[in-house]
Amino acid sequence: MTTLRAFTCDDLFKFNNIQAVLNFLLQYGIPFYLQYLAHWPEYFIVAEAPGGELMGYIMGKAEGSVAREEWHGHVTALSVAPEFRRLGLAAKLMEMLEEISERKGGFFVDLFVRVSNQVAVNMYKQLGYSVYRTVIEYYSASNGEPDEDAYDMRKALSSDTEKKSIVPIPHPVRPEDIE
Amino acid sequence: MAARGHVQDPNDRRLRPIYDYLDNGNNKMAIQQADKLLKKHKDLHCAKVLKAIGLQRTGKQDEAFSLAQEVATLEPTDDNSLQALTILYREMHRPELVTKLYEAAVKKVPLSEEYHSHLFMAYARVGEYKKMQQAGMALYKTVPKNPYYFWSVMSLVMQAISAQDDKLAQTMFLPLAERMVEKMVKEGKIEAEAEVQLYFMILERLGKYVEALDMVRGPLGEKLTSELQSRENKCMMMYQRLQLWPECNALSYKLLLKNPDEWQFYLSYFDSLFHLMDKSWSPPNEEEHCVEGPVQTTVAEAVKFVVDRMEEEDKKDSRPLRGPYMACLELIHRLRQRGCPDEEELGDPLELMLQFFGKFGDKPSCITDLKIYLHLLPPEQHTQFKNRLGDLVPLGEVGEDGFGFPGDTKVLQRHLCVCQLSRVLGLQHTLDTEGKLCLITELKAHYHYGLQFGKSCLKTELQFSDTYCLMVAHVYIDLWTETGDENMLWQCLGVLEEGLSYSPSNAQFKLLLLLLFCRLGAFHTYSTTP
Repeated sequence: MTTLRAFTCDDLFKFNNIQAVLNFLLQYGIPFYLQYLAHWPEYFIVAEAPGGELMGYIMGKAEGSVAREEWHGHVTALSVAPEFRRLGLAAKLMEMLEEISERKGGFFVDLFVRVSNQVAVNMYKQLGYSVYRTVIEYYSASNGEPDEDAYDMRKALSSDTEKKSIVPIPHPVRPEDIE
Repeated sequence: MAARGHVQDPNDRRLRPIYDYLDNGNNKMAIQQADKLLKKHKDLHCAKVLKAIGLQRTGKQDEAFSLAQEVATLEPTDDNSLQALTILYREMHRPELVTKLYEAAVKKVPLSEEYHSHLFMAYARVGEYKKMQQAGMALYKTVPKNPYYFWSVMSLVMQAISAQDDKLAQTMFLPLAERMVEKMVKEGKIEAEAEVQLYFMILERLGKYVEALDMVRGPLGEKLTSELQSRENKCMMMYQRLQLWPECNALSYKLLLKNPDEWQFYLSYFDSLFHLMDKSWSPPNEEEHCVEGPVQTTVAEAVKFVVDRMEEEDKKDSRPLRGPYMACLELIHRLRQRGCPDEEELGDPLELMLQFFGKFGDKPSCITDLKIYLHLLPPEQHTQFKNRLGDLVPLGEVGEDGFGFPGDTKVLQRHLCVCQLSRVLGLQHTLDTEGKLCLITELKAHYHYGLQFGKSCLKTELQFSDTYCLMVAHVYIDLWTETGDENMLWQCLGVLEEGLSYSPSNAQFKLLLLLLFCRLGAFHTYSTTP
């Protein structure tokens, strides 16, 4: 079972088992992490195993215009260590992020995922997310490979009574077009 | 880097192209353009600073610095120059110069909210907490907005945290911070959740746990809404500090009913229950046990609680949670430590662990979970345990090489778990050399067989059977250590390299190889590009 608690700066030293985080850190650097910790600490949750190992974490934020009914929660990063997979931890962490977004009055929760990452896409679909739009060349490749498209997936929250926010857009968009 | 401010429009238009050049990394053009502008308007300070930025970015630090200083000594108060100088000093890693800049600006324009804010930020970059405290108050006096007041309070807390002398923190900084917050509370001016969190932080650091508890349970605590279970977590922390075991127990109990997988609350539930037993505390007859609700104080109640939770999980159609089963093992462990015979009511640890394996053995977490409680098994039971675990792994028919293999990844994971547990129990170490070599053959066979399940794995994913390979490597190392036979070490390196060829992202393989190469004295850099 798990202890679900707020992520702290010290946890940055314990992440060697959550490999995705290592890549993430190498990509974005510590300041990116710390910014999230400073602005949206309530969304930065880590799961710890009885033996003290870090099992996984989730990082997110809230943004968008309230007036345009675009105020929403956003999943920036979600990762579970290989040793702790298939325990429903990702679903639990997503549930917490959704609950926090509900409390903030968000209309929906969204996230970006690589079009090629079928495993993740299916997982989010099972959690109630649907593809809202495709964003062309959202992920820039670093090593000469072509940029990759992303799906912008969404799940409506209770404030969005008519579920308007998840009606898919028929045509793909470019990263510059996203608010 | 857009300039927005009180500067006259014409300057903005003239400076715009230089900003654009700098933003695009075209430093040469930026410098050229700045020079052109300065020929016509030699006192356009901002252009000088932008030129300095261009120089700095092309490696001409000294020239950039003296140019910047020309402007800085004039103590500019136009937004463009100030912002540009800030950018330059930050790129030069000279944040202390930004403080001087805004100190001067604030002297000349004492009512500027913006300059006071920038001054506060400048002090924050260099960690000058006392000056931050003063700057925050000056800002608040100029414009009485709550955040500014609390920036000052926070600066006091930072002085407390960083004080060399803890007495100073306890007798000066923190009490002052506390009084400042109390003033706002009395005047009904508390607005934001962060202010309540800061108040809690101050009271906690002062050791004023009772006050902190009252505050969180009172109306101010209602603002603690962003973080899930914020109030409950803070209350729990205070109950533990104050050793209010009845409340701690009752709250843990309530939270566990809501979420039977939260490990930290099993620990606090057990801790508090045993503390209460040791103190011979019993709940009052007629009234409410405590503000958090019913309290449990006997072993019998704890046993029933755990058994009930397990039964709830057994009944579920959906995925069962590990929490209650682990809690059962934890309770046995604690009762055993206390010499309490009631542990028998929970069952035999061996049977419980077999049941756990039955439910969760196909998950990788099973090994780390069970490892914690293996000490509950007496050594005489170790081999029996391993054998009975093996019975729960439905391997296929034994083939020519004498081994039966798993039909899918779930069975593979179960088999892997049994192997790992047997290693933790020391059963691999007791084998003689021949026994170990046989084990290696068996594990290698399983490793190679298991590779078929991972044919479609991405380069960044691990193979399902990687751990077999790792275990083979470790048994080789065991042999090398025991016999001194270097051939074992070479075999080990070979096996790890093979593992890496199928699973290039496996950090464990790489780390072990590094370790072994170093032991051999081969300090060449080992490439670890993902």
